Amino acid sequence: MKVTWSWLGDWTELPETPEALAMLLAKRGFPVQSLERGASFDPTIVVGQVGDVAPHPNADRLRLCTVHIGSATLSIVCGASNVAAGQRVAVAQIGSKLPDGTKLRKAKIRGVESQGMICSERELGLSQESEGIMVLPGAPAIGIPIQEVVGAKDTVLDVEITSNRTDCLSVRGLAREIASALDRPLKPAASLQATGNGALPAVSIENPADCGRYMARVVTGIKIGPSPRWLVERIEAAGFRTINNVVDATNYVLREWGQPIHAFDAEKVGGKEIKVRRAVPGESLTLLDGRKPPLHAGVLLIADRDKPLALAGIMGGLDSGVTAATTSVVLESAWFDPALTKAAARSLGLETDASVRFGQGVDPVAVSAALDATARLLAEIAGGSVAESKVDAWPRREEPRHVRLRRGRMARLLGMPVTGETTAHALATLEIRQIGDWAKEDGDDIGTFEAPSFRHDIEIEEDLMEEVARVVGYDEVPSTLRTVPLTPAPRPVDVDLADRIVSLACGLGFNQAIGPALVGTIPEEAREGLSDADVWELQNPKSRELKHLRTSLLPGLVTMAARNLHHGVPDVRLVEVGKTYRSTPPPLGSERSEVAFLVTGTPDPWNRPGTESDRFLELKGAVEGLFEALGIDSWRTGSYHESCWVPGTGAGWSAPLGRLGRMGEVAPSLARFAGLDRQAWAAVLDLAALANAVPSSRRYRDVPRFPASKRDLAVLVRPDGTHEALMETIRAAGGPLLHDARLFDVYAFQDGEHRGKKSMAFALEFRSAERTLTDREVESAIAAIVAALSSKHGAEVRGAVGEARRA
Amino acid sequence: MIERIDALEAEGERAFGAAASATDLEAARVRYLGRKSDLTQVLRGLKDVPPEARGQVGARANEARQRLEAAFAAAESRLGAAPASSSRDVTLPGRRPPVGHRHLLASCMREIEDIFAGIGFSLATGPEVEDDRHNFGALNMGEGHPARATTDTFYLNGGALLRTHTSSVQVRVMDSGPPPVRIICPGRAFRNEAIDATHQVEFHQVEGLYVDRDVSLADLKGTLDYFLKQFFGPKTEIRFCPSFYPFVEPGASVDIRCFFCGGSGCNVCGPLSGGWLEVLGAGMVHPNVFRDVGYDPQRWTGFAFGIGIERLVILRHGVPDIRMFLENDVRFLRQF
Repeated sequence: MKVTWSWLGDWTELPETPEALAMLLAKRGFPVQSLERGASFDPTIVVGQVGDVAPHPNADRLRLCTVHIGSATLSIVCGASNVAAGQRVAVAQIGSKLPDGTKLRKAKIRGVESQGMICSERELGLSQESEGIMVLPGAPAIGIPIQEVVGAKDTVLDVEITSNRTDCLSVRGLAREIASALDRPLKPAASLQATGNGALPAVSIENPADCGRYMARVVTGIKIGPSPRWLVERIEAAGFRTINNVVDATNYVLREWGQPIHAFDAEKVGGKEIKVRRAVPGESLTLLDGRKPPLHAGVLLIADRDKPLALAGIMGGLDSGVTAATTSVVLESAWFDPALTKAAARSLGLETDASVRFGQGVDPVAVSAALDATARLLAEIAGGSVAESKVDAWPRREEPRHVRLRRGRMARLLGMPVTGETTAHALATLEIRQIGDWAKEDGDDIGTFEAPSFRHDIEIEEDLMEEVARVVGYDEVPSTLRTVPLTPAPRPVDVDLADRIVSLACGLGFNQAIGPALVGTIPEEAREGLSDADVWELQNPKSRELKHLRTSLLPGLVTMAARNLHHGVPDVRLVEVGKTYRSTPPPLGSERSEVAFLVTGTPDPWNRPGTESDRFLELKGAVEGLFEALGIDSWRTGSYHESCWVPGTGAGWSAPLGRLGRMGEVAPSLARFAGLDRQAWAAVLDLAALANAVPSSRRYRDVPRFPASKRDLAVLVRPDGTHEALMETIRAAGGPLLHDARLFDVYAFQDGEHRGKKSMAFALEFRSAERTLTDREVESAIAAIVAALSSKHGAEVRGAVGEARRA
Repeated sequence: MIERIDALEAEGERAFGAAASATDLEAARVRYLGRKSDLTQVLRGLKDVPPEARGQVGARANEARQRLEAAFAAAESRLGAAPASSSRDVTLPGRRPPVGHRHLLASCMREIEDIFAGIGFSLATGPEVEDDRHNFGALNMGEGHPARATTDTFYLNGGALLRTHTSSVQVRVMDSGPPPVRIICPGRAFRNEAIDATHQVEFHQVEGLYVDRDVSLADLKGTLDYFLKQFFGPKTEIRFCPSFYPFVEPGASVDIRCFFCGGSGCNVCGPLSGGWLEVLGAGMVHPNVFRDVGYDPQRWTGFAFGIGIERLVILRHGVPDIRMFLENDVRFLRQF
């Protein structure tokens, strides 16, 4: 809420400076978001009197004026049409600094030198828009600084008001907080002289639930015109545009008291009768903004004998509104039901300052003071006479709310005792009054407090406790760290595993990414096995790019990789552990955590020397290294085709309890979708499956004590003989003495005698836990392996079967 | 024997000192340190020395050899002799295996979890796709609460929504069992906000909840004071100011003394803050929240707090734009 310094000063004492006020308000829970310091005017901007006004020799629209400023007579070029001889005006001289910071320089305008400028209100920073030059009222002395005439510009504070404190969306409400903080009383409202005549309309309220209170006053003899500058400055600072003195006065009171006021042209209230009633379907009303919305029974109307005049609490009608010809007005101040007003405004698409404020619930007691303030203001600025009598229909007078406060409980909740006296005084500064005295009950000290009519947020004793703490100061609450016996639960398994995986992946050279869950289009490659109904789509997306919840980490990771390559990062290795989402089963769908890896780009030639490495195997090795580190040892791989992979490159890992994950070279269609123009390889693992496969505990196994016998075995196989199949045969045939078998070379013959075949070389390690093996035992195990390879895979032994010679 | 060694040492040192060329030096090296040098002979002859003297002679001979080697090295560098062919350029960069970095948000989140684990907070998680009750209703945000508006919350089909805070997890935890409860709930949350350098539609939060007998605002202050000192450093000053969140009463916003300017005012903390930076929101659990999950508000009290991870990380590490976190530029990731 924007409010000026002097306006607050009308209602309360203030700290020394606006900055000090900002600190004070922050400690009360009202942080000041911005502060526009008031400006004083450059003393060289002075009052001048316009002498001759002659046409500019070279321009039709410009005029050449002589302006007396006491010490000198200046020749000034002026473009305003309202300039006239004899006017007192504000004159900026060459070198004067205008409030917007610009310095006036000597200039020729259309060939004629101008020795200064006759200022408009806008140029003086007095209003946001103005027409023509500012003509000073009265006859201020020529040559005196303009500041002495118009006063200094006010400081504007923008205060943040939390949604529970709508009472502070008014100058008086906020001033009450300041007064409380300074422990000073709030200043009283000026009294109203209501001595005039004027016929009051008769008011009837159809349903007190809709309109708890309706008040009206009549002001006669007013003259519609512009508002005085001080008022315009205040309401413009508050965010209103100046319209005319009557409308401005109602906006002024809305901001000062938080009470919307409506002004009817008294002549237009037919039959001198006002009815507060629901609209009848089919009725219509042309509003101030010219619209004519269809009305329904959910809309409350202000009507006269014959027709609707206004939408209660929302907007006035065009016909009954104030015009330039209006001479007397009926001012309305009322309490309309918040829910009804809000719903009606929403249904008509008409959320106005008034409807928002009624929707928050205005103070039924202040309805009267706000009405008087408006009438008094009109008497002051529009020359009106306020009729002595007024209407006050108050059918729904609510009893003030009483809230009990247990002081002992408050001490326990705040962690700080507060005496009964301090408590009562603190609350009294906020006009929360104690009823009776403290009483002992159930071992506690109980007081009863009355919530003021403007504080809808005071409902339970905790609300009072907060008020006491606010007034005493949150700084006074001590700081204690409770040490109590701990029984913390272990970290959830999936959280812990995700953490371990990220650590291991970092060790394997992958940078951790955290990608967005909200994505635009989900490519076909990421919806394999999913129907449209499985994909979550936002009903109110921010944009097309933030429309769905991701179904896979893969597209996001490819997109990030593409962006990195584009930025010139040569070697991209990413890992992400994150959620993917399905909309099934209803109602909340399902969330599954995935682990995804991606490699692309060119490895650094120094750090990763050697021939072009096989990045498929590099990634596969990294993932399998991860399995090893996690203790997952019984998995198998095989071909596994999915549309996200280049055909023939898809592979899957499976463990006894299910599929662990899959990998492959990213399909060109997916790469294109993500803007990637390089080859990339990715792996996607299922976190829950990994969690199932990770052993919960590991037991010690004897470290071998007897030496191993190592043999190399190279075989020629058909190209369809896979490593997995051969290895399985070797393991089965090798029997219990085969301790370990691993591939150390593979070579596909392109031509020659073995053309079309491939050679695979295995390092075999035989050992026994009980003894050193004899050559005979080893030879016979190898013979069994060779025989099995030959019969199952048509493999031929190639090269020597002998003691391993490799280093 | 010892005298012979003394003599050899003195002679050799003189020869190395006098060498005027690489050739001289090499000749001296062969003579005094070579395989056939006298000193080598002495060492070889050690086996013939009586055992009781062997230790002493051996030690002296080794010492002499080391001194001569040092004298040789000194002479070599004096003469600028070319390094022997076997030496390497030790300043070549090492061949580094790729080194991965944890995402800054993730490592800070883990750090925050660890700080709270140290004072007895367990970790709880919950779904990101939530229903109205867990995200709003049970948190004293009834029908018509402004946060429910589609301009603030993302809605999915069938009344599901994307949680706007991880406070939804506290409801799930309280639903699942009686007090005492002491948890933190880290995770992703979503808000329909205009995206700029400090606002993102997806962000991360750590919600904390402690429910027990007589948990007080002072306990909340102490807990957050401990946390903020751990996270921002032991000199961190904290301040509580009143604020409003529907699920707490009293409510507070928590500030730290600006560590950029030390509290004198700067463009990070702003001219009006008095040198304070708002870092999180907190308060005492509202009785309506307890009622909704079936806890008796007369028997139990509790505090809750919500920490926006990005904001803390941005402040501590000087990250200029919240959008960088989800962009995953490797040049950014590798800095942490």
